[in-house]
Amino acid sequence: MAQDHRSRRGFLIDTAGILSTTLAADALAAPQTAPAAPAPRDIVAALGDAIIPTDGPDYPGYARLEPQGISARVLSQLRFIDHVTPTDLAVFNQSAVSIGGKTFLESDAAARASWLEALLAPPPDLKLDAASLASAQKILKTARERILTVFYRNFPYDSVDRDENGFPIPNKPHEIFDLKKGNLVTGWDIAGYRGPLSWEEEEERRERFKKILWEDE
Amino acid sequence: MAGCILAARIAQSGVHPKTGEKLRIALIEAGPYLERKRNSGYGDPRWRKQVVQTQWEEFSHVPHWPWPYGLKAVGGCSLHWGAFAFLPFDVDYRNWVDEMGIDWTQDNMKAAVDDVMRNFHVHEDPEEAYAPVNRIFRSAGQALRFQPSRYMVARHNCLYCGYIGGGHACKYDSKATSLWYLPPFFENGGELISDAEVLQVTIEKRGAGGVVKGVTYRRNGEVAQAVASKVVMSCGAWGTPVVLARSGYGPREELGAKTIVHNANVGHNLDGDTTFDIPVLFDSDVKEPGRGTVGGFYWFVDDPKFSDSSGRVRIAEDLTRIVYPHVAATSEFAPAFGKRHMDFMRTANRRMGWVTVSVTKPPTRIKGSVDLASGGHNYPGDDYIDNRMKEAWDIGIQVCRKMGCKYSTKFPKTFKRTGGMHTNGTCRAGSSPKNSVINQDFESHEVEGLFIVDASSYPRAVSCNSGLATATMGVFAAQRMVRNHFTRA
Repeated sequence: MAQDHRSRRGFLIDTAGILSTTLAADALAAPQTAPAAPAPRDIVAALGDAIIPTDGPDYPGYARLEPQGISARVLSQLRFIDHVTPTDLAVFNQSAVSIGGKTFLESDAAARASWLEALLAPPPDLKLDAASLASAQKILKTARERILTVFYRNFPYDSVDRDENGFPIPNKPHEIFDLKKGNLVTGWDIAGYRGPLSWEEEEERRERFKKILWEDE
Repeated sequence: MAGCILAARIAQSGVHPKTGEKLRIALIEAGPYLERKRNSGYGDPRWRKQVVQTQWEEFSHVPHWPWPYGLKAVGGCSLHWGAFAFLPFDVDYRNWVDEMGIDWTQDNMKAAVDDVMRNFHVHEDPEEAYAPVNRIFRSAGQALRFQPSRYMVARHNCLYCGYIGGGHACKYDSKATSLWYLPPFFENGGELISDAEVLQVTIEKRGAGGVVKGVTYRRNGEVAQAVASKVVMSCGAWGTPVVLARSGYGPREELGAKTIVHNANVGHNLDGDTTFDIPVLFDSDVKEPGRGTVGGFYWFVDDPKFSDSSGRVRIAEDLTRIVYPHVAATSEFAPAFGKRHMDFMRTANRRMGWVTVSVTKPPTRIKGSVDLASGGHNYPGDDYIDNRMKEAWDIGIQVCRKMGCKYSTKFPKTFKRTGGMHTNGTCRAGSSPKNSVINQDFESHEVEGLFIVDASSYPRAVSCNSGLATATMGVFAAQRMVRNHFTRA
């Protein structure tokens, strides 16, 4: 099971920079005397990393897209579309204590995966009351769908530029919208999804179907 | 869908009955006109600049999309329909004639059907366009002793890029739209008033009925009036009843003191299909990801208890529909998380698809309504539909087994309040005001000068998707209106 998820070493290497950036930002924002409450964005980031792990070139996962703000996007949609509150996320984070004695954020990658497995198929000895379990399961279900949707919608190349009137601006000759605006590996790359036709493919298909069913006007 | 067609055909053929002069016709549309010159297989550069070909980005420059009454742009639903080109079947004409006492026979509508067939380039997809999975479905149907038919499609010089239906516009202008009818409208002096939402039809009380005087519309924040002796409503099965109700034409019980002319059928008799998609997953690659026909084969299974095709079920495939990665990622076939999920994603869009089962012709006793204040869709469903859907699903599962794929076993407990799509009938045609809003010539029973031509006009759901039936209404109504009102006396 462990090899199905990202390694702890990979997790530490890939997210160290992101976490330190986040912590620094949180430190600036939070009152110096306040207890360290888990930031909703950090919980989302940890969930995203558990669901779409990053491990070398074969598994270019969610955490790589933190510099592009993937967790901020997911968190925003969770709040404003799915109506998941920071309290909901905090409850989810805390619920992991029932299995390994640590919150979801405090847990390592393997423990996080174990907790997700436990939520999906609760073991008989799980020390969590029914209401808390149901709540954690619901948040996991919602967050999982949102994380997968944002990631596999080609984040961060998931929108086109538009003019002041809202009209899209093509970024390739022949009025082609190429969503691939940079070199990041996205969810579409993992899925082998090419998206709309490039000009070259368009020409190739036109030539092919001219021989099959075509009628120039 | 029907509005552009009707306006163009009347502009082309109609004349003032007294003077013989060309008519003055205004086509008023709530949304923008996405102008282009037709060039199927290539696309006009102006049009290509606007078609993003990514579902969640399409039409976001069109205000209020998704609008509750369909796409708010010149061309309406024809911009985003799937171009599945099912003309009315024999039984559909018979239903209209037998149930409503109108003369919409197959013979009488033949010229309109021929017009639509020609202008929408209706044909079957070529065999070369099919993916292996299309043929797998066809073979499974045949093995079960059904007779799969090919989808009829409305395309011209199609690249089979996959971006058709599902809310997509066609970048290459290969998907037939009612905009293809528009050139004669402009050539004959028609005036297009776009970005102008009709607020109401001006109806003046006359005796027990009324007479139309024009329309009021809002454009650029300003309210304007167009004076006309004849007004055709083509705002769709949801939109037309709402505008009529705002105009004081509808059921007195619902409009109360606002009623100018009573007709109990405005917004009622909503009919349509009920559909369920069975997700399937093959063990090997069965199609090119994101490319192909989108649709391929289907067949009907009728309920022998009915002689009018009530309870008609359609078993169809949607196996080459684009499987967007985020759709595959959240499908029930996807592992919950981790590397297994990512491994699944590497092949999912070459292996996933849907088998679609529908009750396309509900019995006549099952009808819904439109909320005349909001345009809301009320369709009750029924135990009979639930049972027929279960029977259809059972056939769908047999097909899945025959295809040798994995399939979802999830099935809703009921379809009540979820059906009635490809909606029609909400201002239906019939022999009298007691059963309908318009007569067989598309004229309001009570309001002189008012015509209704869209999906709301036809009184019974057709056997398959309704797009081309609605287009046919546009041509047919134009023929009747020219004959009855716009021919030199």
